[in-house]
Amino acid sequence: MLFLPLSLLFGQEEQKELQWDILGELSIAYGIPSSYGNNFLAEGYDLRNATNITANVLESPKWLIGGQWSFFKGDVVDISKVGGIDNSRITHLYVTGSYSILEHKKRITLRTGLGIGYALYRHEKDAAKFRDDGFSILAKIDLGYRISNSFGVFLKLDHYMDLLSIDAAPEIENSLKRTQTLVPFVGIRLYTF
Amino acid sequence: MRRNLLVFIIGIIVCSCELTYEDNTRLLVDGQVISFESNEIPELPVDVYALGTFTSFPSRREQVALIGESKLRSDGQYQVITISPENSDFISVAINDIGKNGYNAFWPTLEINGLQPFSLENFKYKVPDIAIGPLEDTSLLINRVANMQDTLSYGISYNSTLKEVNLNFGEFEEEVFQRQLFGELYPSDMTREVPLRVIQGESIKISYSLINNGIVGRGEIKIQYNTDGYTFDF
Repeated sequence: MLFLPLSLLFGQEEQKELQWDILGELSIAYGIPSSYGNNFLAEGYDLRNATNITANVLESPKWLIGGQWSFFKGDVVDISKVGGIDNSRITHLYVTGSYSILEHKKRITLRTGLGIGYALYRHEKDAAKFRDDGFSILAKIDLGYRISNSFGVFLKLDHYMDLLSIDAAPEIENSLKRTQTLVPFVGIRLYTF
Repeated sequence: MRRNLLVFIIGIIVCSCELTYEDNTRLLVDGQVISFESNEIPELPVDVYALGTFTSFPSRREQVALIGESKLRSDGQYQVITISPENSDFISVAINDIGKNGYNAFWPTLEINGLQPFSLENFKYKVPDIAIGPLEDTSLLINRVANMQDTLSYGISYNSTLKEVNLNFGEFEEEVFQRQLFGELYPSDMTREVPLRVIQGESIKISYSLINNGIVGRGEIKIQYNTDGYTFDF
């Protein structure tokens, strides 16, 4: 729906041939995170304001490799699930590989991708700061529209699965060690040649 | 020499003067309160605090931080997930703390003090079972039965809206009573009824002196809970 008016607005450019041999792209996006499942992040936090920066290099017409950074905040709303934390800032860093599902040389792109990386939860309690961290897996799907040679927009859905290295009693390990988060993003994309 | 002294003083001034917490660690505080005659216990709030004393040159200050909270289950069990203090002196548990969401005025506040780091096993503090009951209006009946000539000077120690338990190496220390009442019963008085608001199931302690031109006797007696009230004959 978002891309329909864009395609009408920029319909005249369809006549022009875009330059397809791009070197890479840089994406910046805003998202609204929500966690799910029986874990402390889903049950104890109010998550908000995700920011995402992705850089990709085109390896072949269908494949891209790159890196991704994302960040969001969360206020603790249920201490009984989390412990006495005031708020947390959650960062994900990934190395990613993406595959274009649609045919190359189209303004509309549909991609899926996977990433492996690092999750960092920085917590605040009064004036004290401490952290949890661990391994993270990313799965994503991305629908983009290239408006001009060097500019485009996109919608993206990221799924983060964090496997945190938290030491805890066996009774509560399951709810602390693994979290799942979905983040729908909307953003802009810049292409380089 | 002066430089070393300066470094030392600066070190004291800028030293960590607050509670800090361990990375990648959570603790579990696990326990149960036992209700009098196995009555059902309401969903009372359970809070866990870390307490630390810090030297911030030239003064010392205490810091108390809420590190976890939960609620009692109807069988009295509780499990509280907490963050893990690195430098606290000890950890305490407060059940039905005044002012907390879910506070129940018909039940006392129970404070369990003195969980120490060395009692931590596999990231879990196991708190001993502790008896608790609802608040109840009752009385202590003091009867003059055998002694007709001495004045009785008494002090009644009991728990009412607050019960405090101090743990020492995981065991209970001597019972601490939070309230005291004092009075005298003259030879002309044969009986006296002292109204008390107590925790159901709890015993009370009476310390007394017998006075007749000076103290002629003294003693201390613990009186067990009775549904008809407490009685002290002398």
